[in-house]
Amino acid sequence: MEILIPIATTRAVRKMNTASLALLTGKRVGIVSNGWRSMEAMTPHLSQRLKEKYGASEISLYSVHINKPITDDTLDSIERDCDAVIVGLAN
Amino acid sequence: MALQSNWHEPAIFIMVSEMTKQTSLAAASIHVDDDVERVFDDLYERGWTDGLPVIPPTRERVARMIDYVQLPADLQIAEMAPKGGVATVENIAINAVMAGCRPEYLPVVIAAVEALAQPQFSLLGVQTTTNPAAPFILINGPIRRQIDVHGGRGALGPGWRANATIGRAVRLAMLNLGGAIPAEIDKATLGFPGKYTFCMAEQEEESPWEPFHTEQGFNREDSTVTIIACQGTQSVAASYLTPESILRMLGNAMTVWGTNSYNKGDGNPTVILTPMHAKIFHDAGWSKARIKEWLFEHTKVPMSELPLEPRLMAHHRMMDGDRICICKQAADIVVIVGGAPEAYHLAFLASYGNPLAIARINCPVGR
Repeated sequence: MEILIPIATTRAVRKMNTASLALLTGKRVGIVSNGWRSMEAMTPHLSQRLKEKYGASEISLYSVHINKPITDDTLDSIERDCDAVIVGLAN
Repeated sequence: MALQSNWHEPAIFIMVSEMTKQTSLAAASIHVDDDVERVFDDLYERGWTDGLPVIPPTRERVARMIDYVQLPADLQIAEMAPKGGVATVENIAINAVMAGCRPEYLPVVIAAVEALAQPQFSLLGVQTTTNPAAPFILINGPIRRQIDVHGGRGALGPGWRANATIGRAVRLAMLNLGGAIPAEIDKATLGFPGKYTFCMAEQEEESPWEPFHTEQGFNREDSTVTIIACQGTQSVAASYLTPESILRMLGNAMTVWGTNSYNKGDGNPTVILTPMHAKIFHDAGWSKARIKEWLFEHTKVPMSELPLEPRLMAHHRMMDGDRICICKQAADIVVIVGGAPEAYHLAFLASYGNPLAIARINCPVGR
């Protein structure tokens, strides 16, 4: 018996034009959190490590809603103000 | 073909219908054993089922289903989180066949998939959460009678093909098109049986009030599907004859601190009143709005009653002073009429805390 496959294909992912960072030295790093206590507890330690061990110049913190899409304004801020971003989500 | 958000506008619908004189299917296929038990084993091993046997989606069955809706098989309806799978008429139909749908159910399933992808519903959250959330699918309008979607006694239980298979088709689409693989991607701590199917019609003819979809701006003669992410059903034995007594029982059942709408300050806590309960309210001069106001006020929880220990999860509570509200506003409480006529057990469906989604069901021209 021949049957049709029920799974969907995804759209081709847009090729990223941003080059990967070899190092974080001197870079501005953003941390995105949706507010889980674990992430909020981890963030200060992460920020400190990023600066002390990896030489990040600046750490910016962004809060997103627990289960809604990130806003365009927040995305614009991240794009404008960060060279790299770490996303910590849980639900 | 790019996502065509206006495919259901009348002129566009007729145009695309004209394009589909012969169904041409593009989905890849596999060969499986002719024995249905082995087919079930095969598809189960591949992770394409909900754990229950499915109808093999042969080319003929899928074509028959698509022929009914008279839409291009490759018409793209939505992108489904979390995988971002592109839901087309064809692959929705494949999952609808698997679920056991009749062809005439497909317009409902398509509309449901369209609704799931509305941004405010946040399908990504619903699909991946540790919460047991599942979409409650509410059907309004003439299509209920046309395809026999049940809204009376036992409507949320077994026995009704449309209810069972429409809900199941939507769930299979969420799995196969959206990629919510149980326990891997769908992180529900426990889940609940509504994640198999969770669909009913509103008993509009038995309701003394306006049907739900007209509250959302649709006309009574429109057929719609509403998706509300819910955490299960709570039965309330409210065999009383006065609104106040019924509301006290219902309010008590709704005031569960651990339900998500308290944590998120959003969503649509849903109440299903039996026709007799609705009549009791209506005859005493109560409107839906007044019921919602009463419930919203009497389900506020003082912060002092909650544990002092900070919670592990984040929250975005809607506060009224030092009291937590069950949702953002009274109008967000959904009140519908359904179930058996007698004023015995009504039901409360706790909300996951995301706003609902609603979409028009577009039936083929001439059907």
